[in-house]
Amino acid sequence: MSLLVARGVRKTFAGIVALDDVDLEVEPGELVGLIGPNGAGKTTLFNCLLGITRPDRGSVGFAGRDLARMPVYRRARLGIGRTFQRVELFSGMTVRDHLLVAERARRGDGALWKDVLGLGRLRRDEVDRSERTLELLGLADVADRPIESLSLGRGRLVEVGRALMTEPRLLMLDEPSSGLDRSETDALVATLHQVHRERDIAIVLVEHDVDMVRGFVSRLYVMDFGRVIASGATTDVLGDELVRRAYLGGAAP
Amino acid sequence: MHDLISALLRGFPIGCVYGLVAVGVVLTYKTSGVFNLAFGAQAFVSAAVYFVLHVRDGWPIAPAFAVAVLVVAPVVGFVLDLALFRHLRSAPPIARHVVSIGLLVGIPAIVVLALHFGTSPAYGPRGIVPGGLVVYRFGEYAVSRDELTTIVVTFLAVGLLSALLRLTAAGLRMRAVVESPRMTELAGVNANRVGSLSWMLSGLFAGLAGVLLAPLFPQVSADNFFLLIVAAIAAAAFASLSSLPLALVGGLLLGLIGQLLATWLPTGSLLAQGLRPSFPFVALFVLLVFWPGLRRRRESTDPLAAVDPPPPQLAADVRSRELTLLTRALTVVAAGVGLWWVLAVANAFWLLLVTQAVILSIVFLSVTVITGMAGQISLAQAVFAAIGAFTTAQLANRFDVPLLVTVLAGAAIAAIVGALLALPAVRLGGIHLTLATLAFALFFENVLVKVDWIGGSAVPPRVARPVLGPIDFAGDRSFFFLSVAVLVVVGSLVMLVRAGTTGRFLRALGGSEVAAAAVGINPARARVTAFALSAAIAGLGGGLLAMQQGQANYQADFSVGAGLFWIVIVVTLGARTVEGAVQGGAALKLFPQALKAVGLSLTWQPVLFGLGALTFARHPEGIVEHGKRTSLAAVQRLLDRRTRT
Amino acid sequence: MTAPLPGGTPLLELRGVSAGYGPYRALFDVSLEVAEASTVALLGPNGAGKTTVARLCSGLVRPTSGRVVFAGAEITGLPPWRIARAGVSHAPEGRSVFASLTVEENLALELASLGRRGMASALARAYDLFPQLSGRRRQLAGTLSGGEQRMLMLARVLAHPPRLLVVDELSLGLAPVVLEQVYATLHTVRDAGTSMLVIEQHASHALALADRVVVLDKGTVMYAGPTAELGDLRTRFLG
Repeated sequence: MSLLVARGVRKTFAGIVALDDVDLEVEPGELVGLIGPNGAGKTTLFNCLLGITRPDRGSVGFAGRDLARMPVYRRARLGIGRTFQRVELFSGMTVRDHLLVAERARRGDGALWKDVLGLGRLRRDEVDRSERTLELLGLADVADRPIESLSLGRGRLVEVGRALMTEPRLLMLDEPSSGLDRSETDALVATLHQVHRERDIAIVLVEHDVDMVRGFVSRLYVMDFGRVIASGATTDVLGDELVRRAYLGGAAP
Repeated sequence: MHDLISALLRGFPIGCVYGLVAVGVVLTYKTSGVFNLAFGAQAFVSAAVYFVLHVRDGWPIAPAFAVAVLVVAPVVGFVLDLALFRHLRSAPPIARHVVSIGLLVGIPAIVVLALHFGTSPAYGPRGIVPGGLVVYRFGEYAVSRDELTTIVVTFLAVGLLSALLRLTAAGLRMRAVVESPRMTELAGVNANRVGSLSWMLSGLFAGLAGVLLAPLFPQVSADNFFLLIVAAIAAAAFASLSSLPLALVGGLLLGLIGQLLATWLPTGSLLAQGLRPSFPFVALFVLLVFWPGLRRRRESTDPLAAVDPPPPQLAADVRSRELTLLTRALTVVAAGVGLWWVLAVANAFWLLLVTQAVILSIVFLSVTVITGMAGQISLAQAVFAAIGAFTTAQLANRFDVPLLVTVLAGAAIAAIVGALLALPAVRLGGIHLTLATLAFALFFENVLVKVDWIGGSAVPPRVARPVLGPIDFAGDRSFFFLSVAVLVVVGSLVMLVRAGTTGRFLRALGGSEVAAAAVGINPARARVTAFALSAAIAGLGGGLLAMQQGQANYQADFSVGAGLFWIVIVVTLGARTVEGAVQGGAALKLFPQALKAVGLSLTWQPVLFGLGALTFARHPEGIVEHGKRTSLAAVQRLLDRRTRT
Repeated sequence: MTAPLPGGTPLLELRGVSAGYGPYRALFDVSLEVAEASTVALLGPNGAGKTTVARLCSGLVRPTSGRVVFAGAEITGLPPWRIARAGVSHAPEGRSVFASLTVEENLALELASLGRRGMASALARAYDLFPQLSGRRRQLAGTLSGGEQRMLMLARVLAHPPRLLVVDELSLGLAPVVLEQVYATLHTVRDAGTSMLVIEQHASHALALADRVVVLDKGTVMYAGPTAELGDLRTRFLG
């Protein structure tokens, strides 16, 4: 059974069709890419899957459950993690704090009475779990640094780590290479591969960096003008003439 | 039919007045990005100056109008921009709101001091046309010359302003500066000059509104202008804070519906007595919660905000271990000396005062939770305290419930009311939440307090001191100890919550709401929890205050004005820490004694704290916390030097 | 650091500039020059301080030490609008448009100083550069897609070419097709005589445009010289 299923998703903004009858499927543990020119509707689709935008028509399901009208935070608890194109970090917190907050959120909503009785403080096993994720992402050396002092590349890894703490079954990455240089991008891809191997998480990647997409995902969706114009195995799709013209232009390999 | 038309005729000029102020509020918001709660105070300045010149000193209308509206009003706007708002353009919205609340408290007090309104209140204001009371009759309907002037000036002003913003280059620049002063500067436009112009324009508008409004009331007083601005804010909300003509329409609707209610509702009923005067507040609350135009609106952010340095951290975060220990030791010593003084030296008067300060510190911890932890400003904290006080009084007097139980029941009921208020309001966030709390507070003050089983009849309900087993807290000294014990308990509780799940979630939400939701944090739930906890703390403090005073006196202790002042004091001194709340309680009760000692009027208190709130923009952690941090840094440097040599 | 090019005085000069944000230092004693009618590519990994250099040029960030000189006049610490009027145009990274203004208003704001006729022709030029925008003149800029917003931002600075153009991370979030189109426009602008400071992480486009390169790393200048002589540094610093 597919992990994530979108069927016939349509969304218009002020009369402009942003998404037109889009279908998308992600299998458990699969690496899927989503590319397309600017304004093709990638971000809108992303937002519809995550619950930030509500589609006008069509359905989104996750692990057999219908996600219609489900708010963002409940989808997160079902196992959909994400990162942001323009990093969204908790200012004034350390790297470790980021992971610990996510860990606390995974364990269920904080009840005030527990805090009042002094049960809300840090627990040993929480710290241990965060330690393991910090190790996995290579962030252990900056664990206690304030988030503001980190580079963008490290900040994005913190976002990945924060999402991993919630034990997602699906990780949605919104242009993770934007703002990173080549070596940082390569490092990120290597880390993501390792994450995928160790935790067997399905990953959906929205990207502009064709090199990154080619090296990372096994299956690819290409969007243009709010529609999926091609989908299939990565190498086949990137060789497609239609895709070449719509997306790659003169920069085609 | 006749009733309907005369109601409409009476409502029209009032609606114009609401509309005029609403247009001013929208104008300020559009051109400077500031939701200027002090707009009414600005209008009050011109109205007061006009009154002094024209009525008291006998100047002719034209020069008095010219000075009050054409000179003083724009100068006030210019000064506010130059001294304050210019430096806040890239500050977080909460800083701007705090500053405008500070001005709301401070400006009227300054006017009262400067124009000697305290000694000779300003009765009998006059309009801006000669013979303003002359009445024109159309068949059986009548309109006065003042009313006609108001209508004509309103429509003219709104038309001119809309054209300016829409069609001129200056208007375009004003709108651009609102969104991002830095990007506007990159386009070669002097954002500071555009900002000054906006503020002078909106200041002029406030002044105009002020002199037009003044004759509607028997007396020129800041309170009337404050209530007007609430009605105007409702009209501005109707216009989704963006359309000037719609703001006018909203004002007109408010005026007309208000008059229709007066005509149709049976006189003497609770509905007529309660709903009509409070209609603007109800309208504001309903609009804030349900009006789609406002819900879609997000406080826009400057794409270049990253240019700014990150906000300063709490002192506790940057202290070294040794210094933390040192501060704690000093706190213990100070507490010890304080206790000794209260027990050995203080007389009955000072004991009462210090007890009040302790109780107010408890109430102020509610501000620590809602503002310091959740990053929201609530203007209904005094109402939550009042709910605690009234619950205590009513349960004890009517049902003979033991007093310590009633205090806890008061906290519980305040928490429930707080949660019910927060449920629809928290998703609004920011200024909208603040306004919703203000609307609720005014509704409580104008309607609910007068209900027999809430605020009691004309006389404030009496409250006795509690008894716990063998311990009787009737004595002032034992009650002082009870208050200190409650303060310690509530203070530790706040610290536990801050270190616990709720505190972490709130901090994450403050850092990035979208990211917090993306890891599974329910933003609404976390905020409602904070709101309920805050209301409960305020309710507990209110119950204690009523016991200490021997009565639940709304006017003296819990009015909306008092609530405003509380916020101002706490954010000035430090909303993020427990110490800040305690210092706020001490300041509120001991500062007037200091003023008396040096022979100054008590009006100086709102002036000084109102102006003190203006420091919030630079030191959001509070001036005491800031002072502590700088002195700690100095000590640290000294220590470093010592160890090096 | 680099001596002025023979015969030409530098149009823009940073002399020993340090800068940062609050407690975080971004640049340490950086010196660089952009000669009259030349293009400099400013390269380097993320966090190297490139964006801070751009902000220094336009006055958004004030240096904590050092001087900034433009066209022979000191502009250190001047407000951004004065520097903009002196002829420096800065296209910041990210989606830097006025979301609450229409497309045309966004352009008009920048072009107000040209007078009615000048503005009309500049607007026409902007829509020529990016025809995609001309159908959306009355649309609010906030409703444009990310790529269209980048186009609008470029149209704003290119409609009336300045003496010095500072572009920051142009390639960020742009599809390859659009990127080609945008760089073609920059080539035209350069050939028309505008000096440029082009900041990029993905170096190939910028290097094709520039005659000199400055490489930043960790807030200091690692290399400054002609593009042709970049040599093996290219692989060392730019991956």
